[in-house]
Amino acid sequence: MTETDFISFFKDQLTEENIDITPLTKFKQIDGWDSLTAMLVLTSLKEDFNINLTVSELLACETIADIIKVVNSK
Amino acid sequence: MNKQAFIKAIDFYLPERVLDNHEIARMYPSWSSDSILEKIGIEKRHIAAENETTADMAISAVDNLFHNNSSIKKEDIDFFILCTQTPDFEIPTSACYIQHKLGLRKDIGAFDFNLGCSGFVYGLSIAKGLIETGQAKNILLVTSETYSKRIHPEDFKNISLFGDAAAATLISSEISEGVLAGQICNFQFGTDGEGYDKLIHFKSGIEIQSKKEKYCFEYSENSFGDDYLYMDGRAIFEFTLSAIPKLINYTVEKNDIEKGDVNLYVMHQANQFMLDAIRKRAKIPVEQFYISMKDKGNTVSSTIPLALFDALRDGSIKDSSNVLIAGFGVGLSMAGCLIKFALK
Repeated sequence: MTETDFISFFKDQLTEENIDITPLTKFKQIDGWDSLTAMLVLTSLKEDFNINLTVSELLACETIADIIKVVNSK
Repeated sequence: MNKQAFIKAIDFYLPERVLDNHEIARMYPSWSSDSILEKIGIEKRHIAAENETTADMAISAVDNLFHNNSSIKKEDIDFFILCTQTPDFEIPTSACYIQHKLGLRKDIGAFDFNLGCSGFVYGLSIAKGLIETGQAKNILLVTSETYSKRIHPEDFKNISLFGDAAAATLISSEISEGVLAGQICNFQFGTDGEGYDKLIHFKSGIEIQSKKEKYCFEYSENSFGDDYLYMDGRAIFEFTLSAIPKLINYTVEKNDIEKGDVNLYVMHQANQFMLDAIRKRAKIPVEQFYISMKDKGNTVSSTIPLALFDALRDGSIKDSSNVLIAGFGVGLSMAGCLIKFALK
């Protein structure tokens, strides 16, 4: 998955709109980020792309680029 | 088959005691709940009193139905169906006790069935079957739950989500002049029993010593034990997000219509966050997706009739409204149905 595709997918999962996301964004610091959003990101990855990421894999990431790296290693 | 079944009237009962988010925050100060509570879209929920049971609430809901709809006569009711997972008794069927307490006729059928969040839709399908085969003409379908009595006092997540309530719905073969009634159309059902242990009260049935081994059952680390309700929130969320957009599409197909022909979607009011996710995935415009749970929470099998009541009252459902309803959850069980509302 390209950076642009993942960022577009990631933005769709957020409740707040118009949040600026870059590969360097530390996603856990985004306004409104919580366990529910994490669950939505993981479930949508599975539903849309058949990519199974675990909670610990996601939470071990710091930036969006880190998630993209893990996603592309699947 | 030319007989048709219609939703003719809906009413409800909510227990007096209200638990709001401020009180939850006070009770569980260690839980950083603000953003979660905001996202689940529930500000308060009603909790049954210590000595108030599912049957009491069912009776109150039916009393309200009769009181607010003077044209409905008790003696016209020829079938009584109760949907509950928190019955006063497992033996006997609570519906028999309630038939007696309500003073309904003795030459009628009465039974309980055990389903949760999908229960109202299943109940409609049973009622439609009884009416279309000429077995009954005026059926009372009551959904009544006191899930609060199954939740551990420290289980703030489930306490935040669930509310107690009862709803009474009259399904009839005939509609009266000037009444906005909903014709019950075709159903799509679904069952995925592999997930039976994702929302479960393990000790709610017959106890045998080897029960846990037999079912290979293990709780996650957040468990409050076998005596209380357990929900694997993530598993339920995954099931819902995967299955319900498809259920909506299949229900549309079963009714030979297009998605654009549906005027309003009334889903089981699980929580706002989950419903928003379903709506986005099913690509349904926000104005056609009815949400009404802020002041009562997830009332299990009563969420759909309560939301239909609100939508009828605020004009979201009017003459010629095609309404698609869908219930989903514990089981795992789901069902969808189209209801065509029309003013005779």
